[in-house]
Amino acid sequence: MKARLLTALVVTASVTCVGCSTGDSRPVGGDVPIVGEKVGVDVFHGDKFDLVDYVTNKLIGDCMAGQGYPQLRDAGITPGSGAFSGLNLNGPEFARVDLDHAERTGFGHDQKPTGQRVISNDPGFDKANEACRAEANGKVGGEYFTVLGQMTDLFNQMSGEHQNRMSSGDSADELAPVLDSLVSCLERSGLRPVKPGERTLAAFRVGVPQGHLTGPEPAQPKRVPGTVEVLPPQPARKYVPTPEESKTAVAALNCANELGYREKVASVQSRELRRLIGANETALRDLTARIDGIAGEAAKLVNG
Amino acid sequence: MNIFAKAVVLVAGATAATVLLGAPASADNGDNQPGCQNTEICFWYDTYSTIEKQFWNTNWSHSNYKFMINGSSYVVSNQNLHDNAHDITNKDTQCWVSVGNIDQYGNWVWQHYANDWSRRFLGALANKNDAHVRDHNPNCS
Repeated sequence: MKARLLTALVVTASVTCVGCSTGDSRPVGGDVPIVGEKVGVDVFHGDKFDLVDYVTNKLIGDCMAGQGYPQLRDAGITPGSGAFSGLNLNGPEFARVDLDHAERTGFGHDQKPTGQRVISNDPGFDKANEACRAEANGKVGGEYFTVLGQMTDLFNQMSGEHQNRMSSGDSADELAPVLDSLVSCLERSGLRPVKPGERTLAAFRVGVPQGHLTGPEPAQPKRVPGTVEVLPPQPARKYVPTPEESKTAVAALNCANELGYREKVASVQSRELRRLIGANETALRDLTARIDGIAGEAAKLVNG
Repeated sequence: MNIFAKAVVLVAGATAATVLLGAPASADNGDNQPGCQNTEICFWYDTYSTIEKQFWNTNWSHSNYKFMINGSSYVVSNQNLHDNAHDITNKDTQCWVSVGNIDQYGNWVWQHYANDWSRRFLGALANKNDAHVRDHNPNCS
């Protein structure tokens, strides 16, 4: 079993951690190219966080198993992806889908299947977990959770600031007529705002899911004191929009395509993100360098 | 709404609180007990710990939920969760959580919270919460 786990780690490291052992040569801060779907990797080095998170989770799982708690390890610890991808900017989601998707899913989201879920009602498990977490952190250099917390704070602060910049100043001025054109198009499509006269996307419920998920509800834990529960995997669930939601999603997509709305919004998003990265360059350089170093330690652990 | 204003609204509405519906029929209400326990995703109404909403799972629409009042039991308040949360605690054992809000252009604005069990301020998304998603791992959804 252990050999299999190590093989998986090596494969992941070779895919996601090129250059870990010699330092990362990719540009940072203001030199980073803004590619919508790669901001998390290029700007925040999310792939390095993915790798270290996976390695520490593996270490914690093995450590817990050694303490008599194999549940986390046995539930399956798999490589994560998409750390700090929330600023991957490519225009609004409702304008990026195709017509079939808009009609079938509206503004909702199918739920993907999930794996086993480990729930502790056992103070012994919790105490061991805390100790194993500290041990894993030590093995990758001792500051992973500190850097993770600092990058989380920086990311969230930048995400908020990006939103502020999008909704004020020259960006808001530039996008106001674009938004107004979209609203006019929605009206021409026969849609009416919830509050008469209100010319916002929210008033037309664009982006707002109103339907429901089908299929069985997730299992509920029993919460018996002194036990560690493992909930079974949850199968995928389909989202079913309301007819009104589906109609709105199709109209919004058609209007967005007709007006080039997604591209116009994405262009302003990119410009503002570029400015924001420049304003936070020092902190980004510091934190990305530190996570690169930690990822190097993690890769060494994997490679033995 | 500032914290003081939130507290006044809460007191004013407390009498009616228990007769309101807290959530849809297929509601996710965590363990339905006061406090934020191992595995739960918890939203806090303000900087205190008396008003809370717990989840087990992803939820793409906060608009159907009310905050709960932590006391000797866990009862429904008159406060909507939607656009009304101040802090989050992610006690999921395996997943990170992203909190999202749809902006005026229809973009999802996201903030990420690793499962470090810390209580964290929602920052720019304080009082602007539309949804939350368990993520960062194929086992999460």
